[in-house]
Amino acid sequence: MGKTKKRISLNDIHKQNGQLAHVDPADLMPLPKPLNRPEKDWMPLKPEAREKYEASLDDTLILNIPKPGSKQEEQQLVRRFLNGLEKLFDKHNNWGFLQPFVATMEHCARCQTCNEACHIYEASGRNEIYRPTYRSETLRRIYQDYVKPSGKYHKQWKSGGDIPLTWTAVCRLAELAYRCNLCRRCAQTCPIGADNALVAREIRKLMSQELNIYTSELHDRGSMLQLKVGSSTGMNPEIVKDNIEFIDEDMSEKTGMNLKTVWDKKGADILLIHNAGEIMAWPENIGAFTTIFTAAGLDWTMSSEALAYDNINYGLFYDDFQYSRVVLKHAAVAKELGVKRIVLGECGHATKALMVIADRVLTGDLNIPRESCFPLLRDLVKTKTLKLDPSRNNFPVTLHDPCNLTRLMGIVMPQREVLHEICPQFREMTPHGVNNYCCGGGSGFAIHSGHNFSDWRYKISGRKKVSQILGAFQDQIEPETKKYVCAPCSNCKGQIRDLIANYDLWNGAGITYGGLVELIVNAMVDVKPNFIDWDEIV
Amino acid sequence: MGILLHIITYACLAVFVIAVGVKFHRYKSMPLHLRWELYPVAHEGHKAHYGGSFFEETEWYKKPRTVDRVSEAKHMLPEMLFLSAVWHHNKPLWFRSFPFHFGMYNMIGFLVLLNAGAVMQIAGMSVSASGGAAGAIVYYLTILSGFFGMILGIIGAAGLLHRRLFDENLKDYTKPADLFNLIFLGGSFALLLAVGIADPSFAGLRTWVASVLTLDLAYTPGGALAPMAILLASLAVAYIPLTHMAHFVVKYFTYHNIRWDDAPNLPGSAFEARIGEVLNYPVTWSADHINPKGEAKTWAQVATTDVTNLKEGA
Ligand code: SF4
Ligand code: SF4
Repeated sequence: MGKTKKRISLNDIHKQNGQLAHVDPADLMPLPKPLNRPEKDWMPLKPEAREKYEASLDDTLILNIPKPGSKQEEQQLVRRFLNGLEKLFDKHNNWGFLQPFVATMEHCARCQTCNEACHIYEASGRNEIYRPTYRSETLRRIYQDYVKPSGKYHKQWKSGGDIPLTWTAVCRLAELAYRCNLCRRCAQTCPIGADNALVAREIRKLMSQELNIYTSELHDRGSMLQLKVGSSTGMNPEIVKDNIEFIDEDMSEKTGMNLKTVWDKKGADILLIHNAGEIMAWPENIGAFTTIFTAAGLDWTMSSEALAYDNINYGLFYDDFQYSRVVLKHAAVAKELGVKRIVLGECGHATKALMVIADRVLTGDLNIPRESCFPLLRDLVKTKTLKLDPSRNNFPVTLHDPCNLTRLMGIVMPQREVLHEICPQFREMTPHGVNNYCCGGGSGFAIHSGHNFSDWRYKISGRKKVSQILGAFQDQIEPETKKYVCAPCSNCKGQIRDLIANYDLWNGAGITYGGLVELIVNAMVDVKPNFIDWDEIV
Repeated sequence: MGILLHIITYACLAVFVIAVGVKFHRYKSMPLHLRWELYPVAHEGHKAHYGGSFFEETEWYKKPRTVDRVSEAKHMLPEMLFLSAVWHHNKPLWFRSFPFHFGMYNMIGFLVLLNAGAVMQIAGMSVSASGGAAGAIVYYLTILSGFFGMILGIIGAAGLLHRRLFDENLKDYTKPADLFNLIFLGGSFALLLAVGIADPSFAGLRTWVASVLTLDLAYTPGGALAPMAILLASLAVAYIPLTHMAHFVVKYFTYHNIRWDDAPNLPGSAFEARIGEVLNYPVTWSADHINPKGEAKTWAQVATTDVTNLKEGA
């Protein structure tokens, strides 16, 4: 096991001693060619931000908790935190995660096996605070000392040390819950079955559900906006219909097919729900779905009802109720339309939210069958429903496995079967499948760029993925060979787009990215060639 | 002395049984939780080796679901017997943890064999090298499992203690209780080993077990070593389930009820009633967007509360 360079103790979390941790760019995990060079220095956090917000955890900031105005405010925050912590252990308030949470809090052996599985810990040069166990053990000690009835009597014995519960400790812990991608790679290696990702999520939940502390991107401009106008992109039903109409026209021209999205068809076989972010950022992904579904003659529809054209569900990352409100709406619209099944577009968290987590929320006629798009696409390719010419995709392709779809849902092979069929130069990343590494944008990070947070997500949380992508293409790393990272998840795609831009991987190594459906359409013989237009990539 | 030792032994056994029972019941009676599986899920049959699931099929809800218990056992047995997760993910730990755990398993076997021998003794059979086939088998296996278990246990406990004391990565994560646990268990193994060296056939311990089984409270094992070892071992048996070392109980739940719990809620399934129950639990979370007016509400009522009129930041 690697040695940690910075010795920051668990107890340090409460100390008002300036910034708790700093990652020296020289300590960052080295990257392969052509990035085998010293890393640039941090984009500094502005002094005004440090002045205004509690920003004493590390080199960046995501939560924007204002500094307290008085001692009372400090005490109130600590009190409310403890109230929330008690609720996490209460069967009524936290039935949804009680058993996994209690098992983790009570039975972690603190063996540190999980640490080496974490890309954030490894990429940071093994900074102490980024151990998966640092935040969990901090919370565990606080729980044992302040909440557990027996705690008060044998603090030192059981918890190994008192962590004074100060305003600084609570705020740092909250901020630290947002230095984890919730990818659960660490949990996969735990011999006991403890889950540090869940602890990070439960801290986020406590802060949101009890203290109104969340990121604006996930809450105000995320789930709240979605509930208010219909989509976290801000698009209301009219704007969505306009945009899709425009995409249909554009894609009809591009493919040479007559494409028209079907809206609100009662009794259709499939209700297709995209991540609405695709409509704004990657319209060719939406167009590719329309092309495939049209060519295959599927009986499908989209919904123009608020929320039902956007499968995003940010509540998954921080709040059980925000999450439930969105799934209930998705299911209600499907019920109203009388569709036979919901198919989720290329979005990992949304697929997991509606298929797995919602499974024990939706009952009766709201329990509409739900599927990922990958098996459907695989069947269309394997049954030769689509006429495909793999030579159109004769360039190196690698696949990023979205954690939510693979490690957390077991959807591993369908996307590979498609790629093996249509991409002659497909190669895997190492490791891949359920052992993949997160892109570094997981748990909503891909939509967070406030202050200098994007710098953190490029240099630290996304570093392992950059290393894996470069590793997969090392045999043809020169920029003249154009290469494609297939990232079939909206959130991951956003992160990989940003990583490619930040490290200039298009100019430096000829690497671009896109979804799975774009590769399928690029290989369709009935579609004009060059759906993936290398000349358009800048 | 004999009576006191018997009482302590019975009490420790009772604490063990009750503590394990309470722990098991506590986890078993926790409410239904949301699905939180983690792949590979061992019972997914031919998909288990790469971590696939039934979600890889179109219209999976119309197809029969595979729950392959043999595949589950194939994953579980190496994990239970050989700590395969530690082997794969943390070899330095495995070389310490495996002897400790395997030593424990041998000690469980040792205890079972001591009991078997004691029963045979009570029935008038001889447990010795010349005690007939059954007597000789029990005799030799007792010696083998006893010495093997104690030596492995001591090596493991010493290795784990060394790691806890000297590995920089663990120092901050080590509590006084962790050190005590290892010293306590390692010390119990060492004392039992000393008893074994003094009485290699473990005849004294077997007679002690027979006295426990027959409520022969007056019997006292000879010498100072054996009573000390019995006392310490009994206390260890009672102590283990009261600590985080009860993970042998909890692991059943973390694997079967969490990691591998992929049972879908198909329409009309038994889940529907259980979901109905948890959705009616009262909720006291107090953030503005959870319960803006602070009314008494159930989980379902909060999830269907219209919060679209709240201003930003709520
Ligand atoms: S979560 Fe598991 S692997 Fe990590 S320290 Fe705890 S017991 Fe060890
Ligand atoms: S969930 Fe992922 S990012 Fe979070 S601690 Fe575990 S491995 Fe690291």
